[in-house]
Amino acid sequence: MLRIDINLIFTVINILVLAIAMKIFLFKPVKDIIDKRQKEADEEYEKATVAKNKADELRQQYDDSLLKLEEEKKETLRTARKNADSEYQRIIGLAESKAATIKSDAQIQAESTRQQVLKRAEREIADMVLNATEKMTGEAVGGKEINSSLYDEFLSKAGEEQ
Amino acid sequence: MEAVAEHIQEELNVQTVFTIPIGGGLPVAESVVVTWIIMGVLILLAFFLTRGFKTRNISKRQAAVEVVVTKLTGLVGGMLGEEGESYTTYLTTVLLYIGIANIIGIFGFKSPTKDLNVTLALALMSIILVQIAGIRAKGVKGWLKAFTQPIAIVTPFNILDLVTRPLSLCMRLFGNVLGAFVIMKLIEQVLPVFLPAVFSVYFDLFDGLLQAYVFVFLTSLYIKEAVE
Repeated sequence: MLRIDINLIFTVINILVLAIAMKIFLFKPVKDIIDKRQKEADEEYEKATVAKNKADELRQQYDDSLLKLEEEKKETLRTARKNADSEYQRIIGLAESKAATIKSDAQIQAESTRQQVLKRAEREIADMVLNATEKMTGEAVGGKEINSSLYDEFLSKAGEEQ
Repeated sequence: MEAVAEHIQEELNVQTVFTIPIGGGLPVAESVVVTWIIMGVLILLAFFLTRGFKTRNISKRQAAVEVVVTKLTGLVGGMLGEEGESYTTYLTTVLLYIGIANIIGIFGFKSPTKDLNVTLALALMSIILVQIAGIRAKGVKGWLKAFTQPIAIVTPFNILDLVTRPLSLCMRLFGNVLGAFVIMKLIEQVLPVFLPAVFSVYFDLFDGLLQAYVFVFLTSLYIKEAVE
């Protein structure tokens, strides 16, 4: 029953062979595939991280450019407003000066018209007076020229008094 | 009763299956032949189960193999610790082999572990592995010095360990398998129906796997001790 013989050596050889075979056919393939998968997963992760970083960078750039655009917009608006303002001022000024010119022109014209009207009225009045006097006095009183100068004098005096 | 004793006696005997005609003839025992069968099954299973492994969209077969192998090596590797990790493959193989050898009786084979040659071979290999691990980890000098630790006076006991450890490993395994077998045979004699099935779960399955685990656990404990 309890025999110890050459089968001990056989068993040792068997176990060693089995251990080596198991390593080749079972443990190594399994370990290899798990390692390979781990490596792939690591690579994927690495890739994902890189992509994420790049995306973040792009977003940052985008944000920056948006900000810059906003700034530019504001700047443009400000300049435009300033330009518009000065243009407005210029136009208003121009209009004002034009209006002033027109006003003064009108005044001058009105003045000259008044003067003309006055002068004409003076002359008409003088003529009327002369005619009347002529009719009243006839050709008796002195010469024609004397009479007319007399009336002129009278009229200008009357104008000064007014 | 006579018949029972004879039957058990016969079952326990390790038959010589055939003799290799070299020199005076090398008798090949039943245990060795059964071991070949176990080896053949294990290697073929390993070979075909690991065919066409992929990294993505794995089959259920691959997932199962991966889980089992990872769990087993994790179990053994955990017992060995970081320094003894390189012995994981051997010890996992031993775990598989003893586990299958212990329960192969269910399939009508004679357990190889019922042969003292097998358990002694396993125990001797274990103790040699422990010494190799010690020498590899500490060098010959450190390995020799370890015998005098923790104090010089325990040196004889440490040297004695070289004999007692494999002896206890060998005998524990052998005794358990033998004892379980004898008890099962007796239970079968008492009541051949139902009762053996219940006890078989413990004696044939649980105890067989437990002894495989104990053997590997103790060996890894010794290795861990040797490499530290």
